[in-house]
Amino acid sequence: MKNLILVTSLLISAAASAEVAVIVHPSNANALDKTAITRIYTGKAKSFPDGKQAVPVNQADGGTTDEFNKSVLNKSTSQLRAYWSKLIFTGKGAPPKVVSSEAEVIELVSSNPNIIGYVDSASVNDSVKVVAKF
Amino acid sequence: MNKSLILGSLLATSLLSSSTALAAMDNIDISGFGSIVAGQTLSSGDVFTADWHDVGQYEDGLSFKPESMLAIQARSQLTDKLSFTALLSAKGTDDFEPEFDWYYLTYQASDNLTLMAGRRAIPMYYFSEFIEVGFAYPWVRPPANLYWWQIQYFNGLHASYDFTLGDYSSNITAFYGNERDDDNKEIGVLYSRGADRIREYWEEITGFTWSLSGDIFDLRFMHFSTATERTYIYESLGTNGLRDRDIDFYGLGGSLTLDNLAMFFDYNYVSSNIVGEFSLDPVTNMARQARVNNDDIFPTVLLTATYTIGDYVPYISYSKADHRQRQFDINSGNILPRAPGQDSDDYEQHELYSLGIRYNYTPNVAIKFQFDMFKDQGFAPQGWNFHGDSETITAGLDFVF
Repeated sequence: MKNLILVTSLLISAAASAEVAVIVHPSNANALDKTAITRIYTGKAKSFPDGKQAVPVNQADGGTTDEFNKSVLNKSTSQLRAYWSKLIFTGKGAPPKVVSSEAEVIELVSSNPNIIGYVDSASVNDSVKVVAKF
Repeated sequence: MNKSLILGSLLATSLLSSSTALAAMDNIDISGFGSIVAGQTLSSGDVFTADWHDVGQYEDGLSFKPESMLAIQARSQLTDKLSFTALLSAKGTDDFEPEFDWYYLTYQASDNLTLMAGRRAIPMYYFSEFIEVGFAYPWVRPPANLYWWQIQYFNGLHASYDFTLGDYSSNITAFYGNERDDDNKEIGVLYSRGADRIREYWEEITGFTWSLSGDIFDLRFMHFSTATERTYIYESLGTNGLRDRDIDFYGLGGSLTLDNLAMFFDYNYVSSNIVGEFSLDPVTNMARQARVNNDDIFPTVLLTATYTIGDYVPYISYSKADHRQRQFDINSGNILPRAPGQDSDDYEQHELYSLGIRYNYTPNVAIKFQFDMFKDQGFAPQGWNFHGDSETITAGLDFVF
């Protein structure tokens, strides 16, 4: 039932805002700017500033993800794919896991202090903490 | 249809279908990349070597063989710190016969320290470690005349350490290993001296890379040395020529991105010292040592600029490769006089000018068109200009999955 309400509110509010919110577990007290978030999402940093492990999650290509790639990582989806190909095929890294929905991002972030994710800002609820908006 | 092509596709299909079943298990990742490339030189008789190592060459008839290829990588997470990666590739220039380009174990010792053991690419020039992944760089291939070494992969150990230097990410990787190729294709085709087969051994490959990256730039320094031994096998004569040569590689490369403009550069300096060159006397089977010792240097440089306009990325590139040699008398150490008419120590030398455009068709597929102008400036009286000038057009489609 919770998921149905979430999905419905997502559908209603999707048109209203194209803002991307980067979210973490409520207990995560780290201050993260664009550089710090980019480092985590490009595999260059494996932990938060406070030293705890950082596990980023992506959503599938499209909508929120394209917006995130453009405004935060400053790369098009193709450029990002080329960047990860270089690392995957030299054994030096792997891209963040992809989860299938905004609801799943929120589910993961709210239940695990190491996870960092991004969602459409309209999807945010109080089970997660917003560290930045773009 | 070519028998090897059938075998190759059967193998790839069976690998894919069995791996699809395996991929249902959470701990195996299947990925891969490929390129479909066609090209030709514009004048009759011209030959353009686009891939020195695998000898992929374009001539004046359209061909898909020189650079088309498919590679499939399987990565299996064995424990939470240990994984195994293998890549099977099939290249047009080898009649699509599949072979393992790399296979190695990775051990994540800590968040910052990664150890790898197995067969991998030598971290040689800036694009060496991912030279086959067309999708990862702007051109159809990294400038051909720079990636002209006959050994690209080796068996060994790597230790990679990630750290930060102020605001920048940094990495140092040390490696050690060797490679024994009993039938080297590149030397056998391009530099064979009439031999039937070339055995190319690179031993004690020892070196490191250090890289630094920030938001708009990255820099990479490389150094390694190797003790090499080449045997020219003349089967009908029953004799071999041997050459022992220590080679030192140095390189500094990187990129700078300013808004839509991205620039790449790579300068490499290689020097080699022939420790001994001799042939076996066919009658007595004793080594007859040559009287000369050679000091060779191979400086190369790459400069590329790309400009991104939405999904289109036009680019322009210049690369120069040089081989210079001084000969010394092995006993006296005196420099020997140059060959008649030779003003300098130039042996092989060439410049490549490339112009092209990459179109990001989908996030997984890139389409490229490229024009290459190759100018052979090798020392003609001794036949070092054996490549010849050429103008080539190639069109390619690169994908990753």
